[in-house]
Amino acid sequence: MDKLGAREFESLLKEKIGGSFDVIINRFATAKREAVVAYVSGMADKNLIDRDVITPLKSKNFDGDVPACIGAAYETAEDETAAVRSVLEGDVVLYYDLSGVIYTADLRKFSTRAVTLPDSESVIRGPKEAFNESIATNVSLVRRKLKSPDLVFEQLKLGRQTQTTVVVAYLNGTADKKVLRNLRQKLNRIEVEGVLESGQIEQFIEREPYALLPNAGLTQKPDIVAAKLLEGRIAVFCDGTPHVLTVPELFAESFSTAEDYYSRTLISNTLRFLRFFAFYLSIFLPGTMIAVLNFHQEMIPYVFLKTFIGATSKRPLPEFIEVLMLTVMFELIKEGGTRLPKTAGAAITIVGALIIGDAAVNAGIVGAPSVILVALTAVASLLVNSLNEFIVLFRIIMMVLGATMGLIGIASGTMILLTYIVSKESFGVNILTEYSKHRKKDSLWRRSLPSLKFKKYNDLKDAE
Amino acid sequence: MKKFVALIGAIVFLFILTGCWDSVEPKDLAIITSFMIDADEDGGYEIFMEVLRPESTTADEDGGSQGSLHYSGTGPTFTDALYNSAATINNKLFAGANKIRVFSERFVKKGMRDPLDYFLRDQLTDEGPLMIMYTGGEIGDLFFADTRMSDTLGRYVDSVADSQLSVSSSGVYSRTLDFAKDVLEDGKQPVMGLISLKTNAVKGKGEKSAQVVYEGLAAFKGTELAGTMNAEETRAYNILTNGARGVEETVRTDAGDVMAINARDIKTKIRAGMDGANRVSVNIDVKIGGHLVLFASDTLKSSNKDDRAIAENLFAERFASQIAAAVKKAQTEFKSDIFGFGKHFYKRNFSRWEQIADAWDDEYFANAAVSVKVECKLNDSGQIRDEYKPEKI
Repeated sequence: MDKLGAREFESLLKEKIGGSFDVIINRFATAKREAVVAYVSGMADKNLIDRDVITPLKSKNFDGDVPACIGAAYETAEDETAAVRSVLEGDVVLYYDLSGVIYTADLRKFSTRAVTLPDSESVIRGPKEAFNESIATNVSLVRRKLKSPDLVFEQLKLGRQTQTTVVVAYLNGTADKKVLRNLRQKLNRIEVEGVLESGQIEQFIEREPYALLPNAGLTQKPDIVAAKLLEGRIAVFCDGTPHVLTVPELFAESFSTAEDYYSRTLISNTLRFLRFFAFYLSIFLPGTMIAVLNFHQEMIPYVFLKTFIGATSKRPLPEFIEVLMLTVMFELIKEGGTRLPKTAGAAITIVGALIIGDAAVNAGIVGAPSVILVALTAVASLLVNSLNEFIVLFRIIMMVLGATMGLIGIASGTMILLTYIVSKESFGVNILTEYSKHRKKDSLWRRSLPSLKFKKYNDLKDAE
Repeated sequence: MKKFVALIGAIVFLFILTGCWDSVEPKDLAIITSFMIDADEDGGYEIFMEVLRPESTTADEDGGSQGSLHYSGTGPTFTDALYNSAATINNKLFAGANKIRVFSERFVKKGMRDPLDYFLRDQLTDEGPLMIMYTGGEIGDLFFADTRMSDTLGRYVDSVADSQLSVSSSGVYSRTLDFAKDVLEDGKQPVMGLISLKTNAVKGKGEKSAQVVYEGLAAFKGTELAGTMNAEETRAYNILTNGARGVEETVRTDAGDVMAINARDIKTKIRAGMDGANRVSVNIDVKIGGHLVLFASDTLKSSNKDDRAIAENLFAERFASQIAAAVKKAQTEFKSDIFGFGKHFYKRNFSRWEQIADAWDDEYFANAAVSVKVECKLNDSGQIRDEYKPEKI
C-alpha cells in the first residue's frame, strides 16, 4: 500500500464507509505524527481501544514504532478494502501517518444471546446447552467437546452483501472425503446477496430443490454435532443462527435422538420403536381408516361399526372431508401457536382446542371419531419432528387415495412412498444406507453401547 | 410429456379398476343384524329383517330389540319377499355384520335349495351367519324376545350359540358355509340350530316377557328336513363331532347318591369299516375328562379312588346310552348321517365308498352296527376332598 498521509487515509475510509453514523473514523495526534483509528460503534470495545490503541500512541514515550506500542494482538490489512471489511466485521483499524501499514486488532464486543436451553430439542438426560447466534461461541462449544487435533474448522464467507461467516467442520480422517469435496464445491458455487440462516445454505447445497425429505440434518445442540462429527459427518455453521447443518442426513437419523445413546439400551430401543410406530401411524392411519370405512365395512368389528355410526349418523360431511378439514385446521393452529408470541400462542391453543374439540363436535359439524383420529395422528407425527412436513403431505396423499380407491389406493400409496424413499440420496449416500443388511448396529434398533463401540454412518463401505 | 401421459393414464386406470364409485359412508348403510324367513300355507313367503338403529341405545317400548329397526315384506317367491322387505329401507343394505339366518319350520319343510343358492350367489350376503330353524308360532315374535345384554337379536343369538358350546353343548353352531359344505360334500349331512321362545319366569323392569331358547338341532338329508333332536341328543351330536367344549351331567343312584360332572376335555375317535356280512360297523371311542361338581353320598367318598371309579362308570354309562340313543334316532328316524360316519368310512375304504355312496344314508348308515365305548375320568374331586357333612363341622 502507498504511504498515505493520515488525512488522506481518513478521507479514503470516509468515502467508503463514512455515511453511517455508527462507523467511527477518528484522526488524532500522537506524540509524533497523526494517526487514524476506525471501528464500528457497538461492535468494538471502546474502552479497550482507548487503553490498548489510542493511549499508548498518545503517550510521550511513543517513538513512532506502532507495533511496539499497540497493547493488543494485531494483524495487518493488505489495502483499504480489506481494512473496510475488518471494520465492518467489528475489528478496530489503525493507520499511522505515512507508514503505509494498516493494523487491525480484534477488540470486538457486541451483545449476543447467552448459551441457553434448546427450544426445539428438549432432553431430560444429556447436555442442555444450545448454540446461539454467535459463530465463535458455537464453534467453541463443539471444540470443547472434541479436543481432537483432527477436528478441522474451515472458514469461508458467503453473501456478497452480508459477508456471512460460514464454518465447515469435520474430523480429518473420519469424514468421507468425497462428501467433503462435494460440499465444498457446492458452497463455493453459492452466489447470493445475503445469507442470514443455515436454511438458505441448505437449499443451495441440495441436489433437488423440490425434494420432500431433508438433505441435511438440523440441530441446535453441540453434543449432537460432536456425535455426528464422530460418525464421519460434516457440520456447517452459519454466523447469526443457532441452527447447525449436518451432512449427509440419512433416514434413520430422524428416528434417533441424543438421548437414545444416553439412556439404557432397552429403554431407548423401545422409544425408538415407538417413533417408528408413530411415523407409520401418522402417515397411514387416517387414510386406512377412511378406506376401510368407505369401501371395506365388512372388515370393521360390529361393535366398532355400531359405535362409529352412532357418533356420525347426523354429521353433514363425509368422513374424508371431516378428517381433511380437521387436519388443515390443526396445521393452522400449530402454525399460529408456533409463530405468535408465547402468550398469544397459548390463547390460540385454547381457542383451537375448544372450537375443534368441543364446539365443532357439539354443533354436529364433525364427528368425535374424526377428532380423535386427527388428534392421534397429529401427536404421533410430532414424535418424528424432522419429518413432520413429509408426514403431513403423505398423510393427505394417503387420505385422498384411501377415499377414492380404498385399500388398493393405500397399497398404491405405500408403493409410491417406498419408491420415493428408496430412490433418495443425500450427498451421494443413499438415505436408507443404515438399514442395509450389513449394518444392523444402529438402525431399527441400536445395540448396547459396548458392542456398538465406534460407528460411522458409512461403515458399510469398510465392511464390503 | 410421455411420462405425464403415462402418469395420468395410470391414475385413470387405478380409479376405474378400483371402483371408486362404490364408496359408501358408514352412516349411509342399513346394517342387517338378523334375517328371518317364513312361509305361509298358500305358498307365499314373508321376510323379516332386523336393521341396526344408528343412534339408539335405549329400549324400544313398542317392542323390538334395543337399538334395532324391523322391516318385513311378503311375496309369492322368496326373492320377491326379499325385495319387498327392503323396499322401505332408505339406506344401502349391508349384510356383512349379519349374525343369524332364521327359518320357520314351514319354510324349512319346503326345502333349503333356493335360499342356499341365493346366500351363496348374491353379493350382498356372505357365508358367516348361523343357520337356525325356529320352532314355535310366528317367526316375527322373535323380535319381541328379550335379548338380555345384547343390543340386537342377531348378536344375542350368536353369542348364546357360541357360549352354550362351552357350558352345555346342547345347541349347534352351524354357519351358512358349514351347512352348504355338508350339503355338497360326501359323508355328512347338514344340521342347523333350533330356536324357540319361552315365557320369562321373572320379568324385571324393561325386560320382555319372552326369552329365547337356543337348544336342539334340525337334521337334514341334503336340503330336506329329516327331523329334530332335543337338547340331550344334540349334546351327543356335539360329542360325536368333537364340537362340545363343555358338558355337565348329573346322575342319581338307586341308593339316593347324587353326582355331577363338569367335563371340559372331550375327545372322540370314530372308526368305520365293513364287516364280513357287508354291513358297516362303526366303533365310537369317547374319552371324557372333567371334575366333580357334586358328590352327595352316604356310602361313597370322593377322596376314595374306588368310589370315584364307581362314579366314573356311572357317568360313562349315561353318556354312552345318550350317544347310542342319538345315533339310533338318526339311523331309524332320519336315515341321515349327520354325525359324519361316512367321512370316517371313506377315509379308510375309499374304493368301497364310491360303490356305496349313493345308498349310504338309507341303507348302509341306517343299518350300521354301532358300538359306543365311553371312558370317563374324574380329574379331581373339586375344591373339597371328602363329602360335605354338616354334623362334622
